[in-house]
Amino acid sequence: METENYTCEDTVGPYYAPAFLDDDRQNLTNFYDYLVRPKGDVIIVQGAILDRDGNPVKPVLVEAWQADANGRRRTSATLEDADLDPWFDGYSRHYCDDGTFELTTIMPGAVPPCRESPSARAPYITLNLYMDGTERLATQIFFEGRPENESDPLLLSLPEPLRPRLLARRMPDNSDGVPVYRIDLKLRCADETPFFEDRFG
Amino acid sequence: MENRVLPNFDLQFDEQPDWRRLEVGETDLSAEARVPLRSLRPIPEAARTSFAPSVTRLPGLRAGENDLTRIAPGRPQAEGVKLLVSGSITDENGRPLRGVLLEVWNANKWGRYTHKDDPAVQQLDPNFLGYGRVLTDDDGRYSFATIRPGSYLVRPEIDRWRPSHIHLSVRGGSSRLMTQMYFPNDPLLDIDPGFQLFGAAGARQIGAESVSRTEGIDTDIRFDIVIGGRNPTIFED
Ligand SMILES: [Fe+3]
Repeated sequence: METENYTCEDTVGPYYAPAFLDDDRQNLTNFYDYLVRPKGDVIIVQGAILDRDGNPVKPVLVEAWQADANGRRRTSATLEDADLDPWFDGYSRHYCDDGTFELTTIMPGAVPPCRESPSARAPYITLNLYMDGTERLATQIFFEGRPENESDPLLLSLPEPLRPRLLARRMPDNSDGVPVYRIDLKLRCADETPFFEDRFG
Repeated sequence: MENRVLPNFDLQFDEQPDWRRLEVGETDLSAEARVPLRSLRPIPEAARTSFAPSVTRLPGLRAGENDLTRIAPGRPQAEGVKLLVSGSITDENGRPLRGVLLEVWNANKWGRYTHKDDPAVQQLDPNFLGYGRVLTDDDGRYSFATIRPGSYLVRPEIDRWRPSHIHLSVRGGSSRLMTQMYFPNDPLLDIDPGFQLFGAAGARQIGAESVSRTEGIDTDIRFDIVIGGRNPTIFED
């Protein structure tokens, strides 16, 4: 190790306050209290976080972020870009006390090569999981059947048999006709979800 | 809970010896069912930026949210040693991180959270909620007041106690950190499985105490936070 000086990550523990979430950010199609809706197709992404024994992990704090329908992501460098949807912030944090999550959002666009992303990307959602007894886990999920998946650099970095573990499957639409995608995130088991090292540098 | 060995565990998927694998702290039964078995996989250069969080609108804070010693301004103080915890939040290169949200939570004097799931039987303090927030100022500095948390018995079946600690979450821009601050000379640090995993780096997790001269505060604590390592800051302005 060289001259590391950073504060260590620690487990979130079980007793963080649901109320420390400043807003309900489980629905990204509702930009806070404004009536304007983001562009794009509304979808629901749902799933469970399962432990070694197939039991739901509870509680879990799930953070998700993604690009808008144009494939543009809100960062400090893109805030003033004309093609960034001003009514979509693409960031969700929610408290899952029963081990399942459900996010109502916009189908993220495929990402064209741009300043922030030199390579084209398939539509994806980045997920961070926080739970008692471990530090943060980071991964990305993709959508089954999208042709862009075949050339996505993150998916291609995985051995082929691991790739389907990051694909959300299309389920029957819900009763309002909204497309539903489902993915289970599995921990400490033979078909464990791949997680990524975002320690850079 | 037996420690299961997985059959035909697919390590053949090209894992490299220098990839990091998360560890389970010794006797940490809660973690051994869910800490991933496989190493964390490297992110290809072309996908790196996508792992830095989006920039989000941070909440407006109400007055007094950084004073956990009271339920609300003007209300009586909770029982216990009153702490004023302050410090800076910087990146690895010492640049201050402005306007980041620090969320704070800790147990009360007797080691009980007000959280509905806390099974502890210790008493609640009607003047202590135990949750607060503060934004860093233009110099990346923060401060909040709270009560020194008691130790608590986290796993009665194995008689495991947690050292006194304050939970901290840092976010804003692309900063991202979930951590805990511990107290000097706490004998429980030597047997805390999570703390022991830090090794020598555990020293960075301990606040520096001094007698306070601030009215209504007993002890000042200095705790500087450096965002780095796994917490991507490379896309800050
Ligand atoms: Fe705790």
